[in-house]
Amino acid sequence: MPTEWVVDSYTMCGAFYHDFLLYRPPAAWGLDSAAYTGRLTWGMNAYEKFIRKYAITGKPLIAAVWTSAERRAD
Amino acid sequence: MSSSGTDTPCHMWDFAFQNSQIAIHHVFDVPTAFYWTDAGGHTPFEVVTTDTLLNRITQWAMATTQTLAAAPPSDVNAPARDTWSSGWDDLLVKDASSGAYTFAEDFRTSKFLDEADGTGFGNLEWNGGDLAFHDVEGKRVQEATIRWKFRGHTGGESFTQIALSLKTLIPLLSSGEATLHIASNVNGPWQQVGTLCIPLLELPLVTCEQEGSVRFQTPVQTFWIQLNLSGHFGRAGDPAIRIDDFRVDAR
Repeated sequence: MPTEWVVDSYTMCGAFYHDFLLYRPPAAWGLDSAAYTGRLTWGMNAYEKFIRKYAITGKPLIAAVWTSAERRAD
Repeated sequence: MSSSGTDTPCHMWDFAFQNSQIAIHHVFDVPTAFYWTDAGGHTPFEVVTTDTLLNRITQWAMATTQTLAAAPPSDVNAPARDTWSSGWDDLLVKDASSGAYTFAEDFRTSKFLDEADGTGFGNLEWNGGDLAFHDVEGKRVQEATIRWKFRGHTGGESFTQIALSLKTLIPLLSSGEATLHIASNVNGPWQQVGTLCIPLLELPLVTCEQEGSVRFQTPVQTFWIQLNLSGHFGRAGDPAIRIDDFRVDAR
């Protein structure tokens, strides 16, 4: 299974804390891009459906696992 | 906002959510990238020698990357990939003028993945205009089914006459087949709806307008329609069949 390293020190808004985020690949890679910021409470079923809707197009896609060490108030 | 200190006990740090996300990527063979940071603008490699939360994420990401890189491709026959479910049934729209309940699927969106249950996902390809069925190497069952559940809005409506129509497009030399079945019970018996197929030769496709109807002997409040797709491609790159403009008229 292909993997890529995307390490960045850029600090994103705390609202994205441990939510899912699909990485927008550089256009030079020639890949399709999509964004999904489903909240954790939406659950994995919603995320699975989201991935499925892209998988059925047959277009290439890279999905990102975005993890922040930032602590959120809630 | 705190930084990545060890004072951040949180239910997520067993990485259960990340691992669940990765498991979904693996089911669909979606390449996965890892992105992580902390609130202080530190890169993971600045803190690898300290016992910080950021360091734990770094270690997890490195280990997970190695595991994924060694993982075999996902199985196209795996049920988690090959089947999907919706749970929706409130699909009929009441036509104010005729009083009929109707449903239309033009396949311009992928809402059929939300509205129907299905099998044979790996055989399907949606392009934003219609839905294609391909026979896929390595699949044990070269068939796809899409099943919609219909009921009236209040649950009190009942139906006896159901009319169906479907447009199919078969590339020349391909041998695709689409059949419609209806049942008043999800466990059957399923009744194939007689189709009146009027082929129209529109090179390089054979377009077919299928129509049919069924009358239930006793009124039903809920019914299911299942579309079965199968066949083989003719020329390389062609699907076995494409479908479009599925319509239901219930009275």
